[in-house]
Amino acid sequence: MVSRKVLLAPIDPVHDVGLKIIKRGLEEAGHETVLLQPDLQPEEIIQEIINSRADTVLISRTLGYGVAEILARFVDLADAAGVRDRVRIGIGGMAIRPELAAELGFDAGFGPGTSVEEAVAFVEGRDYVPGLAKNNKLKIDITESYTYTCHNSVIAGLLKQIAGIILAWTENRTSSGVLRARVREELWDIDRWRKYEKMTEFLEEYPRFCGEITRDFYLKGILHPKTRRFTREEAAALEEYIKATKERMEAPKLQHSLKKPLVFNQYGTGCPFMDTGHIKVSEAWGADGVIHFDPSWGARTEGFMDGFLTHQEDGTVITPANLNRIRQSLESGTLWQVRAHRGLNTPETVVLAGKFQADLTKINISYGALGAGTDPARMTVDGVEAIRYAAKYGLPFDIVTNEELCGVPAHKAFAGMLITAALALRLGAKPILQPLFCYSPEVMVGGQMKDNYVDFNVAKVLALRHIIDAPVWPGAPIGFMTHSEDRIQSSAATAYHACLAAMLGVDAITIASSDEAYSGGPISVPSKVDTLRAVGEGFRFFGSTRLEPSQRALDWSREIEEGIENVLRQVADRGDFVEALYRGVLGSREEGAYPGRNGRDTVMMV
Amino acid sequence: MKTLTVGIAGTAKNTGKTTATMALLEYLRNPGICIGITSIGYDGERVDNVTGLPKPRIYLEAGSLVAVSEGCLPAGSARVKVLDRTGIKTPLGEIVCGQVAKGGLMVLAGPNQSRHLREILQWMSVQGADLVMVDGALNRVAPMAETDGIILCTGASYTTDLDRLSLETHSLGVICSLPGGAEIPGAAHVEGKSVLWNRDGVILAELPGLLLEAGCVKAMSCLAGEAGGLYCPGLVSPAILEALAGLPFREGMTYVFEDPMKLVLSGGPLTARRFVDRVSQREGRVVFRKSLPLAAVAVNPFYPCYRYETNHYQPAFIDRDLLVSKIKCSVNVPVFDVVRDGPGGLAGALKSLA
Amino acid sequence: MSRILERIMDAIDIETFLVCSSEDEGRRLTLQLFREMGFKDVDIVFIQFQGPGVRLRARAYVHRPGDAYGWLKIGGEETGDGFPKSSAGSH
Repeated sequence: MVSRKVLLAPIDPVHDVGLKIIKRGLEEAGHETVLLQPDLQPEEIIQEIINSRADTVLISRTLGYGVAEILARFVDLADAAGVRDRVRIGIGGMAIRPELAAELGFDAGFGPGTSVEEAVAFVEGRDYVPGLAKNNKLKIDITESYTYTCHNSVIAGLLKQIAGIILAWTENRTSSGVLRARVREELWDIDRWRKYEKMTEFLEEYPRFCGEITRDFYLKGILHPKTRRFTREEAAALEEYIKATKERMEAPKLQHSLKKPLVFNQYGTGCPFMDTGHIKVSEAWGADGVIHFDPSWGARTEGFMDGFLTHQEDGTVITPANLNRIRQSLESGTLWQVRAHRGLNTPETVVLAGKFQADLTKINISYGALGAGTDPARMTVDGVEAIRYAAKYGLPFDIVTNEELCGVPAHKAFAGMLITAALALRLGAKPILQPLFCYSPEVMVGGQMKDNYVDFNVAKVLALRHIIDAPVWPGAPIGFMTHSEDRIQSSAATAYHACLAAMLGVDAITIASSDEAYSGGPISVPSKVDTLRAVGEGFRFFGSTRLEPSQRALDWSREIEEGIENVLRQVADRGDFVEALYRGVLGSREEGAYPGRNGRDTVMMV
Repeated sequence: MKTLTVGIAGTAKNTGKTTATMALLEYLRNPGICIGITSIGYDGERVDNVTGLPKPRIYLEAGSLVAVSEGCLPAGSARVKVLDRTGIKTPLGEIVCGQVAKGGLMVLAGPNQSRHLREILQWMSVQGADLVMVDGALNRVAPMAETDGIILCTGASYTTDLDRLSLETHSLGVICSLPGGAEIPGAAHVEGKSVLWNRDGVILAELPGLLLEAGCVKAMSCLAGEAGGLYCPGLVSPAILEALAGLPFREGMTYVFEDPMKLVLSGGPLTARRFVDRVSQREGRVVFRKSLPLAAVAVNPFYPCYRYETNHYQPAFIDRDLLVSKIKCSVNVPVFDVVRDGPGGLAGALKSLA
Repeated sequence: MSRILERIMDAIDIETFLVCSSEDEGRRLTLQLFREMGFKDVDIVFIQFQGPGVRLRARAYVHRPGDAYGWLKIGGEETGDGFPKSSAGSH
């Protein structure tokens, strides 16, 4: 690279802060710079350009009344003086846009939000393409740097024992969910599907393992009553929308000086079109990843339909066509999680996620059985199979602990989470721990958050870190139960929790929209922008500031760890994980956890 | 036939450059005339880049030649067949040259440097343009030196003080009427240098091309008694211009500048005219290597009135008749209010340049 | 629907402060305001009354999920995406 000589001139009484920042960036990039004093006359600046033999000039000036003429006169003088022949001149300041720079006669214009990289690119004579430097997000595997070493040998031993018990128990058991996943895995070929080739073998086998709604779809062509098929024109319009939006897209980074936590948010309006609209907005406002949120009836229905379907309620139906469309709408750097964690389609969801090249999935046997309505035996059989597919497709998955929201204490939810993590490690998958950052019934009653929301959330993360070297991804969403319908309060709550997560150095977070607490209608897209902006501002405020845990947090963390050990011992002593789920060892009826009934008595012996 | 190039220069934003350009385009619409158009600014947009007020838009007929930044092409309804790429970069992309294939509205942002405008005018000439119009930008005048002559657009947007307006317009008229084609002694052709010579054409001193620093006046003052002529290819600072007129040069001194715009830029029209007056008082003369005649003045009573309380602009007007009569008294070229008088007179005035 | 309203991705919110004497009055006035503006699918997302009046955010959905969205310029026959009508269309 040729080192340039750059003259920085504020044609302004005071405003040269921007130039000082750019000066530093240019010097770091190896260029020589001269910063002139503010408020010189245009003729004086021209003389300085000649005397300093600069090859590039950056002018800064805030636009105001009559300023355009001053700037144009400067360019005119430079032109008449002959310096334009060898000197490139850029202008920066509030309200400066490329159109205005062109009108005034400059070679480039830098408005608010210009990065130092953009200015450096101009100085180095590289093509000025607005936003190019911002649009370079790369996917990150948050599990990469973890060893999964268990530091607590007692817990390690118990987890090993329980994982063994579960694998032995599932060995001679199966379910329609497991069989359907196998048909999907073996007989459904994504390339043939994309080419509209008829997969007769799949179509013969698959409906046999489906429930009534999906069987009716395949055999009689009846759609689920809450869904409709898109029109051909709608599909074409969507493609056009995605194409045009991608061309204009920038994917900014929210984390300021940090690399993590990655910021995820959910989509699942019911309609893949609206989802696409939401996803593009999330990406454009800095989300690193998006999570597919399916309707609640999806967890209770055996099997998936196909087709490009929209749906009238919360959650977007999983069908190959819907996943395919959504996948195609994503920016190349956006992480995509298809959650599978809780219902009767868990293993098949992982297969589809794998075939459509999702980056992450979500599985938790305990939560699915205790908080999400699936029968514990069925959930265990299906969960283990799902983990096998996650390992096969190299899909890391988070283990959500939303049973805490029912009232299950953190240590019990964590014991369940660690059991699923132990199974994952045994089967070669990469688990991610997902403690809730929430105002849970446990703390509402126990008073752990009477003073602040910080200490107990810190205690949870410390406890998990003390047990195992694994990635931590608080969720889902952070700040659960602290949000209100007021978007300012809601965004602030999300931002505070996000900053706490950042200060703890966790790997990722899932954030809600500011409509989180509003139940009167679908989540609106501006509400997603609200929280992304709030989180970005929080990250900017704290930067790499770290948090010193309080004594209370340390004490609670030890209590949680002891509690986990105690629960795991009870599960191990019982010698039967499924029975432990039924009996409330990992969350009891009194605490608000009810063993699910969907899929009861559907586990088959082989 | 030689291509005639005319610059539509303004004294400020919103002085009516685009309105004058559009009026001429409309009036000269004739299959027999090949029109070329470009802009050294940014014209034809819906609202002003600075004030946010609505702007006149430019309509181009099929067959017109254009030179615009590539970024402008999708912004209008006109379709342009690109014939050549110039490699000239602007904040809105590379300048491309082409012909309008389907008439329509067009945003024009072209070359904003003199040397680039020169290349574009050359291209238009080769393509057989009969008349090329160069729409100006704000108060920019330097690139206009590349044209055969200018139409000056001025009015309330520059200043609502009519006395000052007429005085400045008068000054510009005087400077643009000074002769061009001035010769300098053969030995004075030193690339990029100012040169002082004696009555026999012998070089006395070589000076910087830009007379901006006090040192050069000192150098000249010792030689003033012998000097017969001074040539400055670049700019002179207002202070130096003032000092030059006060040096003890002998009577009949010749001052040669590159073109009228360089002199106007050296401190503004009033300072430049005062200099010309002082030189003539001492039997001297101011001449240019290249002349730039003023063909006509177009006046515009409109101005964006800035509201400090609300930080925005509102459309406002001064008295139309008073404006026209004042300016008519101050210059020796035709004066038009294009909106009221129509484009005929303005187009007729172009004949004086041919 | 106006062409500009069609560009609204999903909902339009109005946030303001109404001078009124109770939350109920604030609610009533807000809903009436939206009706007068011609919106039908209206709800109050957030309202908080204190002595001087209500701070509120009210919402009208222009496009609910599953509607034909104005910002996509759409309408027409169903796609053949997926099963069982797999003969045409695109995934």
